[in-house]
Amino acid sequence: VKTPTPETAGRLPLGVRLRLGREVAADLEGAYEELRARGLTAEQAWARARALVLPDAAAWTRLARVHRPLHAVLADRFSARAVERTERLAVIGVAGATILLMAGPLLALGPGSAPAPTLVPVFAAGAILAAVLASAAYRLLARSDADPDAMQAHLRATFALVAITVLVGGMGALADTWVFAARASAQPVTLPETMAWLGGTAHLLATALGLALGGALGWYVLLHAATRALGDLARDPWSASPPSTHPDPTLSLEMTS
Amino acid sequence: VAVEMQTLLRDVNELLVLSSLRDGAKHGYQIALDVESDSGGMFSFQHGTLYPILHRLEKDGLISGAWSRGGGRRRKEYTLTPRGRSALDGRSRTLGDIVARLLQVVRGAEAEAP
Repeated sequence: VKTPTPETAGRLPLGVRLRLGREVAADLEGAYEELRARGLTAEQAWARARALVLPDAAAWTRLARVHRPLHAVLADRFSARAVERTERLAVIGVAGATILLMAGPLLALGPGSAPAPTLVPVFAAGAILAAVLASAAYRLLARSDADPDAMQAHLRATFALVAITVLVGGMGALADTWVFAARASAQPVTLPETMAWLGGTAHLLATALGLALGGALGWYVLLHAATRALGDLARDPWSASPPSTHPDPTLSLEMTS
Repeated sequence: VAVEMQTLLRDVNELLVLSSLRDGAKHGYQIALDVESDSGGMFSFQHGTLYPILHRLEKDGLISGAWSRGGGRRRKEYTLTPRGRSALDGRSRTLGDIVARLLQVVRGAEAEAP
C-alpha cells in the first residue's frame, strides 16, 4: 500500500510511526472492503477509503502532539547544547558509577589476597558495557529517536563487550595460573601464597563472569525492547512513499447539514 | 462556566468515538463509518483525523487497543474501558447541559425578537 508521508510524520517516534502505519494500512483495506460490501464501485470505495483513513498534515501534527516523548517535553525547556552536555555527562556518570560499584568486590578480597592485574581491564570493559547499555536504553525509551541502525550498533557493541569481558577474565586467570605455576616450579610456595593466588584468580573469574552475565541480560532486555519499539521494518508502509495527495486539511469535526 | 469552542469540539469528537464503542470492540475505520452513518452524515471523520483522537483516548486509558487477526490481516481493535464508560456517561450529561443551555439562550432570544 502506497501512502503519503507528510513531513510532520517524521516528528513521531519511529516505533509509533511504524505501528501507526500498520494500523492505517489495515484500516484502509478494511474500509475499502466494507465500502465495497455497501455497494460502492472499486474506484469509489478506494477513493472514499483513502479520504477517510489516510492522515493529512493536520492529523499528523496532532498525532505528533499525542505521542510526544517525555524527553522532548523536558528538553524544550533547555537549549539543545545544554541537553547534549547533560546527556554526555549522564553517560560518563553511569560509567563512573559502575566503576565505583565494581570497586566493592575489590575491597571484599580476603586478607592476604591481591587483586589480579587483569581485573582492571575487566572492570574497564564492564564500565563501557554499562555505558553502552544505558545509552541504548536512554535513546530507546526516553528520547524515542533510536533508529534500527543505531540499535543494531548498540546490540553488536554490547555483545562484543560481553565477549571481551569473558575473554579478558579467562585469559587473565590463565596467565595468573601460568605465572604461579612457573613460580611454584622454581621455588616452593607457602600456603598463604597459594591461598592468595586462588583467591585472586577466583575473584577475577567471578567478576568477569558476573559482568558478562549482567551484560548478556542487558543485551536480552534491550533486544526485546528494541523489537517491541521498532517492530518489523519489512512491513513499514511509510518507506518510499509518494508525497501527500491530500492538500486539503479539514477540521477534525466536519459538520454538514 | 465558559465553554471554549475548541475544547467543546474536541470533547464532541471524543464523545462520538466513545459512544461508538459502547456496544463492543471496533476497528478504527468501523468507528469512522459508523459515526458517519449513525449521524446521517452530520458527523464525519476525514483524512485520518480519527487517529489522534483514538490514540489520545488510548493514552488516557478511556479505550484500549489490541491487535487481532481477522481475514488474514492483523488489525487494531479498540474497546471501551470501564474508565471510558464512566467518562462517556459523565461527558454525555455535560454535553446535554451545554446544549440545553444553548437552546435556552437561543429560544429565549427568539422569543424576545419582534
